[in-house]
Amino acid sequence: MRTPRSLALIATTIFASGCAGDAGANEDNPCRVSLGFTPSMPTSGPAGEVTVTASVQNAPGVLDYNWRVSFAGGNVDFTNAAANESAIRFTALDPGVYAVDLDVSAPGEQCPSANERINVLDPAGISLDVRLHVTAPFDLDVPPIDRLIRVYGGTDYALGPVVLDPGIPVTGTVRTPGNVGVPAYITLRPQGMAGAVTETFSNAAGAFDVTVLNQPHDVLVIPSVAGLAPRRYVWSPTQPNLTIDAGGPIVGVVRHGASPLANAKVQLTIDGVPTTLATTASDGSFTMRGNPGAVVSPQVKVEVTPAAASGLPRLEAQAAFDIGAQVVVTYNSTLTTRNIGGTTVRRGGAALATRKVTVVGALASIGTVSAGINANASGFTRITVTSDGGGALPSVLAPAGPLSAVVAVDVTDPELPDLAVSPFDLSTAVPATIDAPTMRPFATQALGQGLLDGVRVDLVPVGALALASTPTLQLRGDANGRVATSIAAGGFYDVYFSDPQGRSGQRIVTNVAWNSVGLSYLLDPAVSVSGTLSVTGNPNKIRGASVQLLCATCSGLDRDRPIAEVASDEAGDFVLAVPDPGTM
Amino acid sequence: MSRIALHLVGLVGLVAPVSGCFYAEPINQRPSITIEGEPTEAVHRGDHLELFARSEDPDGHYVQYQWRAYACNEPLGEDGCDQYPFADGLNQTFEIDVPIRLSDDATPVSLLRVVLAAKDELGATSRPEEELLLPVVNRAPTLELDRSSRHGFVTATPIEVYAKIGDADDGPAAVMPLTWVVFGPAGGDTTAIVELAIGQDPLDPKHLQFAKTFTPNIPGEWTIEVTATDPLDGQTTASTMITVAVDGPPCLAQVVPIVATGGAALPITEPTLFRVSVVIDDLDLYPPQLNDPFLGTTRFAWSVKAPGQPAHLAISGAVGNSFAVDPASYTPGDIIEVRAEIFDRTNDVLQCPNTDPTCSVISQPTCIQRQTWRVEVR
Repeated sequence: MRTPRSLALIATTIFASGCAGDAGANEDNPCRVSLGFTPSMPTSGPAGEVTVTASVQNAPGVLDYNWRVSFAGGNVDFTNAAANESAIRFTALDPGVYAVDLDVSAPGEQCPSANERINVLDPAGISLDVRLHVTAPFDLDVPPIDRLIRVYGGTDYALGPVVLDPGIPVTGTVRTPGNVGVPAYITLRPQGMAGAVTETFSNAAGAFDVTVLNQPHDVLVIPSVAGLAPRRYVWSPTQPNLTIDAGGPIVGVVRHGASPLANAKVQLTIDGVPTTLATTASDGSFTMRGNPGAVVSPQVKVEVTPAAASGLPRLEAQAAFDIGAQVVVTYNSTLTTRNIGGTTVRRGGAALATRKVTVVGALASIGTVSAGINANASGFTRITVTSDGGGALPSVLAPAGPLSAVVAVDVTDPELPDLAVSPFDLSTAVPATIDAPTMRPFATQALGQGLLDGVRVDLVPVGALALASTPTLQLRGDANGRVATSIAAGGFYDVYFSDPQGRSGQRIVTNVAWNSVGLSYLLDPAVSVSGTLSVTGNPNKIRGASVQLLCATCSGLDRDRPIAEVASDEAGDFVLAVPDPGTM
Repeated sequence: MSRIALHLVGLVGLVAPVSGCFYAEPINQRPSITIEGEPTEAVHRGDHLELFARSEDPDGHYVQYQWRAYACNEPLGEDGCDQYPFADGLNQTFEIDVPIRLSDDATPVSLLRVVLAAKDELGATSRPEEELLLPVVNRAPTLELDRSSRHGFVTATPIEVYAKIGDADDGPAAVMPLTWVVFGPAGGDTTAIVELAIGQDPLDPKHLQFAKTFTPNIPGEWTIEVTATDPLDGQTTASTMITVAVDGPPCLAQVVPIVATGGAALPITEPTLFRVSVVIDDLDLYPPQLNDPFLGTTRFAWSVKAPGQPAHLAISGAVGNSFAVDPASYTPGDIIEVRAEIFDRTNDVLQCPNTDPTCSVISQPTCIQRQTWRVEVR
């Protein structure tokens, strides 16, 4: 999390960058003008006094200072804060971005103008940390950035110049200890900026080329060839070659009750590093290879995917397992399966022939994992079958439990699938039918300070629909911010409202049931985050970069779903809207 | 008495005393003068002129000048001049700015009359006064054209055409309404040009700007010709050529995650968001810029080829710029293909075979509308 001190650093950086590249009349020692201000984090109000001081170099003589301070399109009064008028003082009554412009007249010198954008914060503002993620266009070949920035309630925020480091081109290799090149997938994360991932592949000879920041990185290598284990390194561009080996053996067994479970796929993820993929033998045993790394008692995620024919659910457990010990995975003996063959899928009493049906369900406490410590395992099932000509499901085993059936009634419309979610409870018996209810209307309105025409609404499936890999529906509002479509009856969604025009901030309404959609949702006011993109040492601004604000505290897919996103314009400028964190 | 006879009498009268004991000063002669610096090019109203007096005094006396300049209406000759001069001067050099109108403040100046008189230090004046008549012509308006488009100069989108006019003598406000003529390719609608209100630059009072919005209906070479006419029928015509193109195909500019090549596969171990971050297009770009009514947004289509499937199957409802893939939907070790395709409003059909991982409707590898990720489920 960026501290106030860090923001002061930003102010200092802007100060310095204002000096750069300003040419004067004297090519050897051109006149330079730069501005600094105090306090580094001004706050608004009657006492919100800001002092701006000019620093002029290479301009001898008595100088004339012509200041201008503006805010929200109007001029702001100021007073001199220095006898020679080289400093001014103004009171920032309201929060926001104040523009200070200065022209300096010097005898015999042509001094460049200087300007500064000063962020004045609302003293009662609540802060929100977000990630600013910038990916330059491919042809520019510079590393991305992923920085924390702090947004304050009630205050637009001008980042000023956002300067990307050009990085350095690196050529490296991935090889075995026997010097054999290894094709692999490689991710490189600069230390201290884990979100700024650079990806690459090494070729069949193990060679890779990449442009990265000239600093240490956490590098993950996932080899594409069997017998070698993924591994994480602390890597430096100055020593780019990587050696990868088979890793160490990790052994275990998978059982269903006391019976061994054959042909199950097992994989561990140790502190974020996956192992090789193992398949259980007839006695349920498995051996995989992995690199535990240097972390003491790392979090280990165990995933078991039984053979489809078993009908058992997929099992997951996560704990600080001791992978030096045998990993024993045990499905509860009480976990049984049922054959769903013969169940008829229908709508309105009519059989639905040749329809894809996905039987899904999350199941708690389906077993245990033991490796040094014991942990309960949860699970889920996802079985996809197709009904026959009479609408009957084929003979397939599924876990006995409270499952759901997601029926793809009609998916020929590329814009809107006709889906249905129907309870399919196998706890005690197999239901004779799956009734697929008709799609239900979804209509709501996004409201802001005014009409939110063109508002974007994403319906992100959760629950059974998510387990069935149903895609996100993306809707566009009309002139009044209204959206309307049809959604699967029985479905649940997280609803993401966002305004591409930046008038309101994003709002997420979670777990909205198909039959409890609000008539309208009020979006929070937005504050803007703006800046100008460039690359160190390159006078050109970056056009067409992807600029996103991302959640700083989220995990999973939500970590990658933008709160707001734009592409930088011809001048390298960008403006993003983020929900106003509000005031106390 | 004849003039010769009088001279003789005078001579006798003068000679007689001299031959005795009287002395008389020589007779002071008049200076002669000429005006130099007459412009070699046409004189316009508002021009700055610099004239120079050249004198010759037979007696070598200092000569004093007196300039007068009159604004005149040329058809009436000198009778059309103002009664009083608009400028005068006593120096050898005479600098004037040609007035725009006569003293009635209405009649345009079409003739300039400059009079130069001189006298020497003994008061002998030049005779006659030197006079210079300079025809004054009207200066035609100035006209500059420019044009811009926020939509890449493609058909059916507005193109702003700007005309900046000035008139050094009458002022820009006196220029008559501009005439705009559109010349287009065969089949082009040359009437699709409408008024566009724009503001004026308060720091540039010598010019006014006007604008039109032109919306070409077909591609090709178009020319906009603009004519400015001032109150005295001075005319200036300028034209600007505009090359109008058809809406180009959208281009995938940024995708995430990385696309494996050469038969490699991207391993995914957790739910992964496949994203198209940036699409470049004349009109339907992503992220969208919705504050422009002519701009739209890219349409996306996603498809997946799962193990055992002969081809990619479209995912109904997946119309956003991202598509989530949960590896738990597949069996570890599976190889799947995730495909994104983009379309703009022209909805060009991608003719490439389903097996092609990428596709460009214009056969340009730098502008593709399809991208395919080969993914290994871990």
